Amino acid sequence: MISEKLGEMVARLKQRTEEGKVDWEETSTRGRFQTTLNDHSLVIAEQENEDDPEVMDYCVTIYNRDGDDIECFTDRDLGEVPEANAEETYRAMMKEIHAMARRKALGAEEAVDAILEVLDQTEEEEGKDPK
Amino acid sequence: MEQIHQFIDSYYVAEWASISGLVISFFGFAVTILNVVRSRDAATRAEEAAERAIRAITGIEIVDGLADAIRLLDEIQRLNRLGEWLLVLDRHRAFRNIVGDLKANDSISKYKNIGRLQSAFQHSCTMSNTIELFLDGGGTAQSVNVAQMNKVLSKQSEHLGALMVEIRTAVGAKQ
Repeated sequence: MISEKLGEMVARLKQRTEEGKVDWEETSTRGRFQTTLNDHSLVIAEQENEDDPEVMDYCVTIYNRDGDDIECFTDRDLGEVPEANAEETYRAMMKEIHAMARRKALGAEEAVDAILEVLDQTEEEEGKDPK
Repeated sequence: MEQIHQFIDSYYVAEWASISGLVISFFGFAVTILNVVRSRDAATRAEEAAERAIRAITGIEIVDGLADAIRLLDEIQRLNRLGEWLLVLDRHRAFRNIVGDLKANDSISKYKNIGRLQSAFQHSCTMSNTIELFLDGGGTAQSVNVAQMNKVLSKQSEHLGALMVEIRTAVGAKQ
C-alpha cells in the first residue's frame, strides 16, 4: 500500500532531519520548505484545513526531476496506515518535520549556536577579569 | 686467396664476425623494443592530453552554462520587481533549459554541489506555476510575493556560483 510507504518515508525524513542530514530551503511561498534528494524534490507545507480553517494540515509534495508534482499527501491521508493512532502519530511527525525544516531553512539553529558561543565567550572573559 | 683463409683461420675472424653479428642483432632488437615502448608511451601521453583537453573544454562549457544561468536569475529578479510576468516566465523557461542541459551532463555528477542544480530547477518550476496561476486568475496577488521570490532566487544564484567555483577550480587543477 502506498500510504504505508509514504508513512515510512515520513518517519525516515523526520529521523534524517533530526540528524541534520536534510538540507531544507525556503521557497517562494512562505511556510513552504523544500529539499532535494538526488533527482527528486520534496516540499513540506502547512495549510489551513478546508473544512475547519482553525486546524492546520501538513502536506508533503514530491516532484520529479522535470519539476512535475508526482505525489501529494497530507497527515490526514496517512491516517490510512494500519497502525495504532496513525493519524495522530503522522500528524505529530509532519508537524515536527515542518518546524525543523523552518528552523533549518531560516538558519535559526545556527543563529542560536552563534549567540550561545558569544555568551560563552563573554562569561569566560568576565571570569578572567579580576574586577 | 690462401693467405686470406690463413688470416681468417689464425685470427678466428669467422667466430668474431658471428659473435659481433649476434651482439649487433641483440642490440638492434633492444633498440627496437625501446622504440616500441617509447612510441606506446607517447601515444598514451597524447591520449591523456587529449582527454584532459576534452575535460577542460567540457568544464569551460559547464562554467559558461552556469554563468548564463546566474545571469538569468539576476535578470528574473529585476523583472520580478517590474512585474513583467510574461518576460519572467520566458526567462524562467530559458533558465530551466540551461539547467536541464547541465543536469544531463554526466561529467558533472561527481561534484559536491551538484544537487543545487535540481533544487534551482525545482524553484524555477514552482515560481513559474505560481505566476501562471496568478495570470490565469487562479491565484491571489499575495501568492506572487516578489520579495520572497527574489530572496529565493538570490540564494539560488549564490548556490550556483559556489558550484561554478567548484567546477572551475577542479578544471584548473587538472590542466
